[in-house]
Amino acid sequence: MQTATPVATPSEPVAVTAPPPARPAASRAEQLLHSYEQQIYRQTDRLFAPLMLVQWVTGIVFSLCISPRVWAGSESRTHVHVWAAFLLGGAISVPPAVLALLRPGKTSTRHGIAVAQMLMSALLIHLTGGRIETHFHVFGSLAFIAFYRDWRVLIPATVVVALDHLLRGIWWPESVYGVFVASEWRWVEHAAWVAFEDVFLVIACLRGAREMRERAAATAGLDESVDRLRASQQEVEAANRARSEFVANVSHELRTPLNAIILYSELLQEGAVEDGREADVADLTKIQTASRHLLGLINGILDLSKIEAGHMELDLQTFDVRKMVDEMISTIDAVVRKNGNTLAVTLAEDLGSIHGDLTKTRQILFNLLSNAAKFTHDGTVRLSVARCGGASVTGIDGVEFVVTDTGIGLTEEQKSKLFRPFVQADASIARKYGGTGLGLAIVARFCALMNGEVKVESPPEGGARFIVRLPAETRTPVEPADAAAS
Amino acid sequence: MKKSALAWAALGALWFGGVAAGLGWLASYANRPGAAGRAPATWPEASAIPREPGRPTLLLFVHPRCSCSRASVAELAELLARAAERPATRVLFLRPDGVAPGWEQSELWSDAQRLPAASVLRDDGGAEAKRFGALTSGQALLYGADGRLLFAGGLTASRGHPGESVGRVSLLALLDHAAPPVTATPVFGCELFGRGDEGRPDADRDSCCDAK
Repeated sequence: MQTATPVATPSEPVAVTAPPPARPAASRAEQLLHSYEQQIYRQTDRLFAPLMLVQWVTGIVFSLCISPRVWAGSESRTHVHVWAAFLLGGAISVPPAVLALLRPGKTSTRHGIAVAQMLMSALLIHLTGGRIETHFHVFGSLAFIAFYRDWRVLIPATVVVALDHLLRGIWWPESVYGVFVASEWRWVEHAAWVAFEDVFLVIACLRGAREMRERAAATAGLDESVDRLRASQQEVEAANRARSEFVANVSHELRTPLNAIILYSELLQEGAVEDGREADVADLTKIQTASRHLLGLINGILDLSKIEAGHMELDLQTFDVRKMVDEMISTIDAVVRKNGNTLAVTLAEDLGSIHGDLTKTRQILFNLLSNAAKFTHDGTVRLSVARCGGASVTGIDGVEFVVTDTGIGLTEEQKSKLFRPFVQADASIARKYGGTGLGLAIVARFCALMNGEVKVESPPEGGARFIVRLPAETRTPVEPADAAAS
Repeated sequence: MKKSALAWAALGALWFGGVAAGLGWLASYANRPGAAGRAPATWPEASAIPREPGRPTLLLFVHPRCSCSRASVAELAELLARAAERPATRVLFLRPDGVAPGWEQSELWSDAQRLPAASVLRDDGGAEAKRFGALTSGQALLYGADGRLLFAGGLTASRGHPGESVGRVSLLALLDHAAPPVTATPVFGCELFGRGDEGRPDADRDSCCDAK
């Protein structure tokens, strides 16, 4: 069964996608900064929500442990502190906790939380009998509020503390300062200590905000560079596709007249042979040889262009590997022997069949064997074919073709650029051995198209070894970009 | 300003005002003194509380279950540690009539027993408290070596609130033979007697300890 799987429609025009407009870095930085700030505001809101509830419960526990009941002789009733911890604590804690859950990141939410936190300090200090240790709740809360990295939130918190001391100092100076009459400015001393901490927290907030701004600017700059690179890449890809299409078209246009030249030179040669014009026969043979070489070169360019333009199709069919190899040997044998070489073939017993592109598989082997023969003189070219299990790039069982020669071999540098089109291992090689540098490039691309792989090794005894692994079943064609990249 | 912003601001102000009012009421409760009784100007002869000749005597009347009086006992400890002349100190724990045996031996009793040079005494039925006109837990009385009343009042600045107070400062001054800023201060704590207790001393004002 034969199936033709088009990689792309040849008649489809080359679409040059317009690159997305580059995002202005300054406006992008502002967006990112806003996003970072929102993230921190929301995270801190979410931290405060459970804290509020924990503080509420803690206040109730404090009141139950410290002052559960109030007494008059042998009679008692629930202490006012218990009711205050429950009702007032709830009134302080629940609204900001709800805001934190329903409106995280909003300015009003974090300001409300800051005020509530300070009111909770006042309540807890009261419930613990004004213990100095509980006053640290104020300072700890201010530090926690600074998590917002928004120094403005410290203002309402500080105002609440100052106001609390101011009013208590006016109405109950003894409970705050231990004297019946205190200076009307005594509250300023207490507020000043809070402001003292605020100074450092504001500096920390400003530093944090500056770091966020720098990070946003750096990320925006990076995004802009990525956008530009992506646009450039798209332009290059579009240009490559257009070039490949052009080359494919030109190659096609060249091949038609060249075939005509070969056909007519053959007809003329037959006539010259019949007429016994020996000189003309020799000239016409030269024309044919040169034309066939040119046709081979154009075919190679056409194949590569088709692959790169995404127009190469796979003609998938199930074929017998041994039969394919036998046919190949009968074709290549003369080529191998031309340089005084010997062709040694080893075929495993269980080769069976594979589902792939027969023509391309045959061309892969032809290219590898003719390449080995070209660089080997009076040596041996070996072809080994065997089944391989899970060793191909697809992880599917397949067939491994190994072509080994005793030729000039390859350096590591030569191996690294061996499969690039129009590149031979060395510039001098083209002069000495001929060739276009397309054979191995086509091999690599055909292998990739069929989900296979090719690699080259340098055996210790010299020469070169090319290993091709093709899957037993080629399922889907590889995207052109991937094929070209490989 | 948008309507929603105004609504939020109004809601926030309402919430803040409500909570601030609650905290204000709580502070006013904590600073409302208890009922002040009339202490005798000289040591009553009928009293069974032992005195030491040549030394002033400091009395502290305590309700054993009153959590606010924890601060008073702490302030007494502070006073005794800092006093120039340590007085003969008696801490009297009320034991109302009809309560179970050991009712008065609370955590506060244990705290008082750890005070240096202070005797902890049980005041059955509040007889001594009535005799000395003590109505509120935390009531301190200082009598001189000659038996004259030198000071009457509380040792804390507010309900259950330890720390510097005018009462403590005045007592320290008296024990240092200096002029005190005041000789009477408000007392903050629970009521020593219930409304129906017989022989309850007269008060100058209503009890502070009613949770309104």
